[in-house]
Amino acid sequence: MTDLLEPILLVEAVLLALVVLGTLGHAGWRALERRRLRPRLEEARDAIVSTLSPAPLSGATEEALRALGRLPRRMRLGLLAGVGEQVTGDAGQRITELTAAAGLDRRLARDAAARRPRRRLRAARALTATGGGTAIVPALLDDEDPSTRAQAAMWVVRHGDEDAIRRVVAHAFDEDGLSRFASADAIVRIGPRSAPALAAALTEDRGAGLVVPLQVAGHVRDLRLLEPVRALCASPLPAVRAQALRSLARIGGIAENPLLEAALTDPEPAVRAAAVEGLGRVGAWRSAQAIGAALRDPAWDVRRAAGLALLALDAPGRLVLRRALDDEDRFAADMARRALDEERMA
Amino acid sequence: MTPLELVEIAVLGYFLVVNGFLLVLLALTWLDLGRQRQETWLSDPARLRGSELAPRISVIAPAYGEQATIAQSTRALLALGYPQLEVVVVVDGSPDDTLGELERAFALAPVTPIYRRTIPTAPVRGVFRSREAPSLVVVDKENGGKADALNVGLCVSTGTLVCAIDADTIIDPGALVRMVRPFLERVDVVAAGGTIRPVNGARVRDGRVVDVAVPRRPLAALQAVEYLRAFLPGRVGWNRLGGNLIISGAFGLFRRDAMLAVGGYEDETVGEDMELVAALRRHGHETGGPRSVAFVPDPVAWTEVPEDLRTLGRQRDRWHRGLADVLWRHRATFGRPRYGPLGLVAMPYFTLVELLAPLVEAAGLLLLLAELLILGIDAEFAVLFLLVAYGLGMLITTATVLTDELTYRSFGRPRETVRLLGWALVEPLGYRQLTVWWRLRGLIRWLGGAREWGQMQRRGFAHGAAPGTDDEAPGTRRAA
Repeated sequence: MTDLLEPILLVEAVLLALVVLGTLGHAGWRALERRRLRPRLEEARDAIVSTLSPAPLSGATEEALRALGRLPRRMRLGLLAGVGEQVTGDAGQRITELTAAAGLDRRLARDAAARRPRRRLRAARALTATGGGTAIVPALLDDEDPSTRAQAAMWVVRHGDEDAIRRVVAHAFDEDGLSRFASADAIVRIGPRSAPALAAALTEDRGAGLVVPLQVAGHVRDLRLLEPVRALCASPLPAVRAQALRSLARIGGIAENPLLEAALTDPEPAVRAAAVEGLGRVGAWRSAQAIGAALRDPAWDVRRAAGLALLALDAPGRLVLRRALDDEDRFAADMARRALDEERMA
Repeated sequence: MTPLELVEIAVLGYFLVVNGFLLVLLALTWLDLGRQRQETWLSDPARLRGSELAPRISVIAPAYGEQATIAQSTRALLALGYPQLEVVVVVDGSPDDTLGELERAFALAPVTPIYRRTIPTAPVRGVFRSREAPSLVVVDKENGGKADALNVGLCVSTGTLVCAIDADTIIDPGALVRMVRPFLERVDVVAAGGTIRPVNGARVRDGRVVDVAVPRRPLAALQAVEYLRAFLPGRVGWNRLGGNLIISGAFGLFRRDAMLAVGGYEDETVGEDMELVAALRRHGHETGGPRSVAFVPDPVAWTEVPEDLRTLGRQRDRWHRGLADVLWRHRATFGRPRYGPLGLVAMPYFTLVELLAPLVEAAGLLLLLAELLILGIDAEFAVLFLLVAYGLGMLITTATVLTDELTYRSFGRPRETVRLLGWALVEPLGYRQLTVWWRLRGLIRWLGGAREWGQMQRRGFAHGAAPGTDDEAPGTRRAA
């Protein structure tokens, strides 16, 4: 056994020594780098900020470039991206120009075309913060790597044109969750500019994939989206119908009462709950009685939605709730009591 | 070859296999850390903070005997900066004035929220909502234990995702934004865990960690090494092996609908956090629903670790009893292909390695001692045997410190890494043997039917907190 143990121990000892030395070496190097680069980093940050004032001093750009040149490339980019994320307009444009003047844009263009996904992602991330990349980033919207697609969608929010927006909207149907979420989030941030592309997307036959674009439409709240959303209230898929009704209430408001009220008889509880919720949201006080009837719905979620919707209707809703306290249906009476208790807090 | 030699080889082989597996986990960790660090496109918390589409998160914090710190820790939770956040504090029949403190600090008013009592729990005395902080809900209930309190919070909460924490856990700002990432990436994720670090050496101001450092007291520093090993190779590496079985009760994010589907936390076990993960994964396999468990290393939460041997021993004893109990409850999944990586990798690993390791390690040590004293074997062999066995463990621990130095630098400054490395080198000398004894004791006590939580002496880290006696799992306890 001893013969077996000795070589094993020797290998362990060598590896252990390497690991310990590696850790100590890296920590020591980090300490030295920290001491060396910290003042330079602060100097460069101050120099960059001085270029962002509406009337920068002459030579400020050269000073910033000189200070940036004393930093490692990764740190230069990190610093410009950090400042770039905080500013917009003219100041954002200056960061873009500084990035180009520092020669970093060429490097980012190479990274964006690199074979390794992490380099493309890094480029998209840096270009989102520093600006620029109009000729590079749109191609990354269809990148094979979902994280890069997601990052490119974020770029479009600040720097994208109509074509890029259209392509971001297409990714609201992306099979990858991250890319889909990032695209949906980007569309909401882009706002009404995305409405024509989104309206066109909602007319596509995408089945349950339409739920996310519908949700987005409800947040964009542009009247151009009304027609396709209305049409989807008749979708054969309950999840799509439910989301369409929620979005319809957000976009169309009180004018959509008839469609929302009609959905109260839908066979699916999730759709009925969405319709009730929508009626509460649009403040359809004329529908108070119809919502009150939903307090007797066999589905708890619908009854709860009815209670909350009636609260949202204020006086007419409270009246219906008080009457429902004596309802023969004890589930309706219980929900009315809970809703009125909830209202005491408001 | 004599029978004794065979046993020696078996014990040594066990050490090598166990540590070899840990080396594999460490290698997988390296792969995963590289990917995760590259893909953190949401690493800028402002991105998701401004999002109208972020999933709603309910943070559930059970509280028992937290009067001194509850207002401050609740304020810190409310200031987490997540866009769609609800904070549910469940006062679990606390004998002190925890509820009164909350009422004074947040202008609470009673409400009757519309919620479904889908999980049976101890009676709820009242639900309150804050007039000052609309996203704060406080539940006052009769004492029923931590799992029971979490279950009440689960029923009352309204989030799509639920973040279960201990009331005295300090969550880093931006941690929730990072933790939500796996849920956005994949629809099959049912739970995600983040990193826990000991707060003992850190400086805390207004419920926030403002300066990190390796704990100065030896026992806490040794636990800092242990936590690092547990959370880097111990959890990150598992992402590529189908996910592990543990998400710390101090900080985890779960899909609320899945939690309700499995009946929430099991209150008949002292390992309720691990039991929940096992139940979620098992339920996912049985129903074809979401079942992935992800570990995300960059969201960090801080918790106080015991600084005396007695309390630490009781904690480890309880953890091992919890482990044994959960493995026993879910023994039907062991080795069964139907349960995928849960049945074929996680359950066998946790049974053969985590559960039985103290038994084998203690047997090996006793055998060696007996051979040395009774049979008079060569002392050189005994020393070599121990060096090989513990050397591999030391190698893994120091490699973990190196990994941390190259990636997250958990304790900040370079000198803290050096300090951590020092503790990593002494950890196998005494401390490890103590943990073996505590875990062995836990195993024996579990076989004897012990189910209690025990007491924990806490010093208190929050500003103004008085040292005192509290529950072993910080947050809540079952009445004695």
